[in-house]
Amino acid sequence: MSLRELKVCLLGDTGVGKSSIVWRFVEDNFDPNINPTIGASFMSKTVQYQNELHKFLIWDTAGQERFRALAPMYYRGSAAAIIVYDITKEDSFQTLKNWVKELRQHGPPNIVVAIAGNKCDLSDAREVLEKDAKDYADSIHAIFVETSAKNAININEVFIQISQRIPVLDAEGSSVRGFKLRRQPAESTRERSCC
Amino acid sequence: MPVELAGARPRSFVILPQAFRGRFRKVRGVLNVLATPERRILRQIIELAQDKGSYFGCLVQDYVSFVQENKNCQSSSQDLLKTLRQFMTQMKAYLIQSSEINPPIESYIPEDQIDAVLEKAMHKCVLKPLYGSVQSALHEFQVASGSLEKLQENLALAKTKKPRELGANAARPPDSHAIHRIRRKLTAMCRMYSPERKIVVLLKVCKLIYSIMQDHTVRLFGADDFLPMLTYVLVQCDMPQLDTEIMYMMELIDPPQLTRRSAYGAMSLIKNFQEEQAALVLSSTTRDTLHQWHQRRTMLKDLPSVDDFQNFLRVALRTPDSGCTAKTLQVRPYATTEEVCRLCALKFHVSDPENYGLFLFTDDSSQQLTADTHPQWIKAELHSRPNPPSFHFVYRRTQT
Repeated sequence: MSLRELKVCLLGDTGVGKSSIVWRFVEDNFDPNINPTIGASFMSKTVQYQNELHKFLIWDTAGQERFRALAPMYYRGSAAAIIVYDITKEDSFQTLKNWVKELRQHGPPNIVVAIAGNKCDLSDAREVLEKDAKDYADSIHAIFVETSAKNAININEVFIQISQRIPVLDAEGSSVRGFKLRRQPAESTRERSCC
Repeated sequence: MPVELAGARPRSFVILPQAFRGRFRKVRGVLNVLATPERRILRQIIELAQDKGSYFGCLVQDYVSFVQENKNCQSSSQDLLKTLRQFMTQMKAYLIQSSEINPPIESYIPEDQIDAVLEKAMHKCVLKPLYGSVQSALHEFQVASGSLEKLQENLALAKTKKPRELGANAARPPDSHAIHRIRRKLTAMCRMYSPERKIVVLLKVCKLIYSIMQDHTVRLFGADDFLPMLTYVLVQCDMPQLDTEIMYMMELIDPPQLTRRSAYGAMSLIKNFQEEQAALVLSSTTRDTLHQWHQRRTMLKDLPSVDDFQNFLRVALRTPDSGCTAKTLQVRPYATTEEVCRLCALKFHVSDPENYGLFLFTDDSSQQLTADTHPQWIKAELHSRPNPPSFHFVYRRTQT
């Protein structure tokens, strides 16, 4: 089975639950008192998708304004971006739209965009209608799911859908060989590096 | 990987005649094969970091220019250093998980050494190019907060005092020649970008001071004799920049590296700065940092915290007339309460030790420890509980 590395970055307003989504996905855990991310955090998880192994290399960026300028570093080389908003905060949905614009302008041309409306367990305090968000996602051809990192709802689905949308490899594609110890010249490392 | 390295830095060969180049390449190739796996990995990571065509290189380069351009967007020295620390930690995780280093690092070096090598590589790739801007940003913060001015005042005041007045009355202080030597070492330390190398210098300075104290005397000095002397020496050196230096070391040293013996010793020493008079040569922000730092470090359960430092025990003396004074005593893990009591009597100058005992105070209770118990074991047991209670060892009269 071939192993493929997929770089994914999370973007979105501060406090919407980006790190919690990653934690739920990677560690299947939830911490209500998680600290705000500084800069960006890295985590990875390998899952099987059809006859491939997909190794998600995840950059979880900080939502705080002071780290805003760091985000391009991480999305530039990404195969997919998960933009997260909080369904109980209208503002965070507006921020999401700005992220989409920025990705369209400065992101990689074929980046897969997924929109995650997090905290769907708090539907009593909902400010963003599911239909509105879904319509918006459709209009930009993005994946859309409402998630709850707290109750483990739809977290894996986001990543499964990303796997589905990633273009299949051609013969010369960027698959990472499974056999680790084999040497290879540096040139091929460079080619492969940006997904 | 000789092939890769030969062409990696062609600039260095520009002035050489064409004929020599091939030979040099061969020599380099041979040297490279001879290099230790650690050096090879280091070199490989550093070259990757310089290659903007790689994802890793792109991140490193972008980050370095981001910090250089935006150093003022951070609100404090700590924020700046924490962001740096976080970046290095996450990049190490990335290097281990991704396949950018190929063959993978674990095929070169044993797993328990990987982190130390990666840490070193990050220092070279990130801290080295940024050192100048980070230093100047830290200095600006120090000026802007007014702490530099305050420190200079404190230092000027302390400089007029004799060693005895700073509490360093037990041993002979270093002479001006030795102070000069120490100052030179510390100045060299300020130019180093690696927090670990800085710590090594700090430890060497401490060792030097200690050996001067120990000269011409048979008495063994403990932590409570040493720290005031360190204060005296630092005052004489008159280097207010040590404040930011300490912060740099504390914030950038990687937690796993703390378990290494040298860092461990230095950190317990730095921690003591705050508790003893050396505090006067550090600004209050640094002292707050020390406090937070200590809390952060103790939150990481699997790491030994400085308080667990096995050979030290902090004991408070309580007397009816003078309230509380505390001393950090050197207490071996196997020392009994009886031995600790004897040491306390000596250190606190108690003339009637038969009327004193060692007590353990926890949140809501206190109890006298019997002569055959081991205070360090008790401390270790308390620390290992899931929610360690706050506790103090108190040396006081058995009947009040």
